[in-house]
Amino acid sequence: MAILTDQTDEQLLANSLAGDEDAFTALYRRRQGPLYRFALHMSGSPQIAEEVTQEVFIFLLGRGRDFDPARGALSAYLFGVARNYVRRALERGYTETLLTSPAEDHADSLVAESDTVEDIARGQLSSAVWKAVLSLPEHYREVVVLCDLQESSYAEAAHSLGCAIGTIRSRLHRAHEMLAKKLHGSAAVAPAISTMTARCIS
Amino acid sequence: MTCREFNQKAELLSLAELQQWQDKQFLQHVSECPGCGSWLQQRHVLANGLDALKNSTASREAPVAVEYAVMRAFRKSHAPAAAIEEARPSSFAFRLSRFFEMGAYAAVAAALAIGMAVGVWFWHQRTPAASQTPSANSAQVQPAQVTPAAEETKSVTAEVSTVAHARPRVRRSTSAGSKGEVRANATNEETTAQIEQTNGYQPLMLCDPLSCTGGEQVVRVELPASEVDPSRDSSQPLMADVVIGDDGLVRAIRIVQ
Repeated sequence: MAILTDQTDEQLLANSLAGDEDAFTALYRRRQGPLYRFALHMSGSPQIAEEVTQEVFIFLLGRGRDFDPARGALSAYLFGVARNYVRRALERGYTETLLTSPAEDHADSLVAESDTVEDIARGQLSSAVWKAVLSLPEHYREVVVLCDLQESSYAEAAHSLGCAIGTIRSRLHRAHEMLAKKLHGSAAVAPAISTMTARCIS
Repeated sequence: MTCREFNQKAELLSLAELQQWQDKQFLQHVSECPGCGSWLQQRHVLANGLDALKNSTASREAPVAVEYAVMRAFRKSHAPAAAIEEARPSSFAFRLSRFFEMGAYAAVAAALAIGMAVGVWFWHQRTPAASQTPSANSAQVQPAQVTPAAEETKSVTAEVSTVAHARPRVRRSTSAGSKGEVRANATNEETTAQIEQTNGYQPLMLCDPLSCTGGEQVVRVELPASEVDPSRDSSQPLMADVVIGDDGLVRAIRIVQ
């Protein structure tokens, strides 16, 4: 397995399709986290995120030979597949069940480690941002999740979403405008702003 | 820097770049312009919120159950071919069933072939062949002898040739016992041929193939001589033997002098 970690995604995929279970396991463990988080950020539902992660890799088993390395990285290809499965899941009528804020999940441990007030403020802020992201139209939400949360480059996002880089840039700019307006009117953001301001002054 | 220049520059920067931007003119304009200052602060809040969301979900991963399901799918997608190949040679029942299956297919095919051959043969038998020679199509009827009540019993053999008869040859020999009674006696071909040549019956109509298989009657009648030969006296009767089929139609006639 140590040797497998040195291999690229494309090599692991080729070996997986040839029947190498270790290669497939390595590929899964390398890519499942980003895919799961992408689906989670897009849908707000851990159930959909689990289902999408599973479907993406099963898709890869059946249609992995369709992947063309010349057109882009495997990670971008997988995000594109995941995006389609998220769309299908949302079209099936899943209710967007927003997770409790991850900051709240880990609140107990964070209290002992650092500034409690700041963590709560950040938790409220991230929760407000997530709600704002989920309220965006889908094509704006995709670029925010890919570029801001998954740290994909514009080129990778363009490959995943099947559009031009300029389109990604303009959509992201528009999405930021919408998010900023939503957050500006959110009461949850005020404590975070004051906390940040206080930290800056001190 | 004007607000327009500020906007043009800010639009080219990402959220992260905006947070770290240290251009003097840029910062000076932000401090002087409340509108642009507010805009930049909103972007900072948004960037911090996205960072917080990203960091708080960074440890989120699919549960182990998903990995199990995916790996099970992987094994299933690669295992079946090998498993089937291993299972097939050891399965005697499977091979036996295949043998019987092939046997059943062969039996059905043979039955179909035989059925088609029999059907073609029957069709060929029932269809009149126009190209066949009249002699091949002829049917010969060994005529009957009919004895009127007042006359002596007489044996008559008649030949009726039927052009349209599908059967090659039908021979029947009949002898009369009483009026209307026809007795058929089989004779050998040589005897029949001799009789056919001497009896001199003339066929009157095409014979229905089926009617020729039934019994025929030979009736002796008197005809005006003028009907046969206009030059002869009509008062003189002429004796003739008429072969009548089961359907009551006349098959052949022979002038008896």
